[in-house]
Amino acid sequence: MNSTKKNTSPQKKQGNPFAQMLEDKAKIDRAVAQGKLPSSVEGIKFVKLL
Amino acid sequence: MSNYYNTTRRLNEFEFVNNEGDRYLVYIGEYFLEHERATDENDLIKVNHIGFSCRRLAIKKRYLFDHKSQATIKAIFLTLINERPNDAFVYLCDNSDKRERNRRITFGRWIKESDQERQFSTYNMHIKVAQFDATLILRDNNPLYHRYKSAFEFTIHKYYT
Repeated sequence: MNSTKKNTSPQKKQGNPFAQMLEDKAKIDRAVAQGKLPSSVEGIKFVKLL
Repeated sequence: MSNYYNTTRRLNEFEFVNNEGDRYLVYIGEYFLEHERATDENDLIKVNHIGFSCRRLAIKKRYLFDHKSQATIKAIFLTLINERPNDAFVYLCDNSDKRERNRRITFGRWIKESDQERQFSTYNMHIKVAQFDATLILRDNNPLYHRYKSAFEFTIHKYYT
C-alpha cells in the first residue's frame, strides 16, 4: 500500500512525548552511571551536535 | 584560571570531567509535540529535549556544589540553544528523588542569569499527576514562537488532564 503520510516519525508510534522523554532520560542516566555514553542507548534519536 | 571545565564535543554529546572526577554529559534528543490544528496523525511539531547526566566518581562521598560545573553546563546549554535559534527546547525535572521543584527553580534561574540580553522566554508546567516539571525554552524572535507554545500546552493537556 502506498503511504502519503508526512513527517512519519518513530515518536508518533510512541504516543506521549513527555512520557517518552522521561523514560529515555532514565535509560540515559542508567547508561551514564555504568560509564557509557548517552548515544549508546538504542531507540533514541539524538540531534547531531557537530 | 578559566571559569569553565574543558569540554569535549562529540557527534551526540558534550562531555566534561570536574575537579572531583565527576563526569557530565549533555545531549539533545528529538521528539514531537501534537497540536490542535493537526491535519492528520503525523502532523507533528519537532522539539528538542535538552538534558544532562552525571556519573559521580565517588558515589558515597557527599556532593559538594561546584560553581564551575554549573557554569560549564549553563554555557553548553546556551551554546546549543543559540546554535538553533529557530528550534524549541524542552527541559524536564523528574521527581525521582522528590526534588523536581528545586531543579525547576534552579534551572529557571540558570536561564535567567545566562540570558543577559533577554532573548529567551521560558514556560513551565508542573504535571502533578505524573510528578514532573516541563519547561519550554524559546527565543523571543522565534518565527514559530506561538506555534511551539501552543503545541507544548496542547500536548501536556492531552496526556495529563
